[in-house]
Amino acid sequence: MRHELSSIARRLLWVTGLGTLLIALAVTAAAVLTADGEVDELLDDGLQASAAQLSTLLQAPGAAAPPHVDAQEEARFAWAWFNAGGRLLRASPGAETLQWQPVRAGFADREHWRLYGLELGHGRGLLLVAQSRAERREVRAEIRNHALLAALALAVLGLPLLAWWSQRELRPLQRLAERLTGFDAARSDPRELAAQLGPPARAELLPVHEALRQLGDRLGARLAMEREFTAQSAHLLRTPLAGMEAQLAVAMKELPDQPRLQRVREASRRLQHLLLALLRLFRNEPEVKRAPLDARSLLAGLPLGGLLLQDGPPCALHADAELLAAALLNLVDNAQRHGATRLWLAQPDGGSLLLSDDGTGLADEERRALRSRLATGAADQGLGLRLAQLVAEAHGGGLELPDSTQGFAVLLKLGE
Amino acid sequence: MRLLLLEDDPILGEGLRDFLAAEGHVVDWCRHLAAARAALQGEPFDAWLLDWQLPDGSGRQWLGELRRAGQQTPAMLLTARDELADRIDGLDAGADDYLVKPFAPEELAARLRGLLRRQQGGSQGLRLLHGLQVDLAGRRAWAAGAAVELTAREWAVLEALGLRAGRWVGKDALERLVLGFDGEPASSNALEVHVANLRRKLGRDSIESRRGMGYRVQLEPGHG
Repeated sequence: MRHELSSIARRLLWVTGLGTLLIALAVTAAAVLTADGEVDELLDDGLQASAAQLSTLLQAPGAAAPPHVDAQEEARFAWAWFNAGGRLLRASPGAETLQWQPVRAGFADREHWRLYGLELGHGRGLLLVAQSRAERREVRAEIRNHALLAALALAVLGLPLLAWWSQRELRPLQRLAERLTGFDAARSDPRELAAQLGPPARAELLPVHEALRQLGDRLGARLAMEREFTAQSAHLLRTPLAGMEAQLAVAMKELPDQPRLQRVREASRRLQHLLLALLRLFRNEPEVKRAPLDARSLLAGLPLGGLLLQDGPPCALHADAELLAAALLNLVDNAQRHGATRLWLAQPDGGSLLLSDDGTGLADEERRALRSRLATGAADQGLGLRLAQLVAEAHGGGLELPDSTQGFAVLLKLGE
Repeated sequence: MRLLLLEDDPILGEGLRDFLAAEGHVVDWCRHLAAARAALQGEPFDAWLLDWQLPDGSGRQWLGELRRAGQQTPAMLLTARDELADRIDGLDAGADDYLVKPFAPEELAARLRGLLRRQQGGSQGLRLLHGLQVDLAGRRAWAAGAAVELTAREWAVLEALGLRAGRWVGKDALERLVLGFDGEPASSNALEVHVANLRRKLGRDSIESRRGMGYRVQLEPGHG
């Protein structure tokens, strides 16, 4: 099962989204903690101020009854005045029953209350004011909730923006991938790759562009060298091959009764066909020189090594004579090696040739295995079939091994 | 035919010279452009076989110069250059044919016969010589429907005169056309012997001769 590649965009979105959320929550937590402390300070300051104001009111000559506190307020705020001996002198309604002892000056916490004790001067005792902790909790909760809502709103609204921005920032990478994909490696010079990619759109892509430029330059130089080498090799080999052919022709004229000379000449011709076809096929862009020809005449003119080509109609098609001759010659070699004595050439359609023989052939299983090796380009299938396959592919076609009741059959599809 | 072969490769050059000689042609083989230039000075050749790339120059370029100078001798380029652009270039430079190495010498010989036929003005090359049918390219002759057998040298003489039909060919020139630079040692009457034999086989009046002018044949269009 193919392992699906993870996406940079999705991972980026996931990481930044999660990171943003966590940061928002962390900031919220910090804000809440800070606010909690400040809220306590503020409320304590308020409590202290209340105690001071209340003490003034209570100690003033002819002080009136303390202001009425309604039932709601009573639950949040209470006060009690103790004499110096700790006896309760006065308290807010409902506060008489509260357990204030021990009372002392300053801030203290008692059950649900935050207390502040204010020493009244001149031995007049202690004024205790209390604020319910519920109020503080309410304030804190409000702060926390608002902060959290704000953080979540930021995250929810910010995520699509993040997603869009991430995609936008990845576009240079996508463009690079598109241009690389669009580069026709089969037809273009690798040295043109850098120009086709254009300048890098981001600083991070600079090393990638540079690496691709260097790769393209090295590859292009290597291919040019190989192309030049194969062209030069073909050129250099042609004259010595022609020399061999000429000398053998003269020798055969001088010694017409020497069959060995005929065999040497046949071997020389096979060498010519094979060598020149190989050099042409392994050029970087093998050029197929199509011309009208009769494949039957072409085959009949090749050294068949004693094999008998059965009569038949002409096989007219457009193909490269030199390459086709090499392919046919190697198929004939195969036929010979497998004990064939006769050959048949047919033309199933305008661009195909079917060469069959009466040799030992192949069992079905062996034929299937051979087809598989041909399909994968395996190296152990023998040069003859591989060469014929390369010739067919250079023509834009292919090679097939049809079933055969006798001997071996090869179908060369030459395109067009 | 008398052929100028310009080929620097010793094995190929020797092979082609010997093969074409066995076919009855007279071959002058030069291995350098300078030697070929010298050979062409005043020497009549019936066809040129030129390699493209030579140690001291280009056969294709030299052919272009010869054509611009008005030389019309049939020429064939023998070269390792197999690209289409090269073939077009060679033919445009004035080559009548172009053979890519390696080639079978038999094919070269057949193409030379084709050149000769075209020079004779017909695809079949049948001409009438004093009432006899001759095919110079195919080296066949008939008298009253019966084939006439000629030797290689006799054919060489007839071919040399036939390619210059209607014109007088001097004795010295005819000797060089038939015997070449390296031909059989020129005895004083080798040529006269060949001419006499031809007259005996083809008819006394088949070859005219005139003191101081040389020899001449008159060829008429043959019947296909």
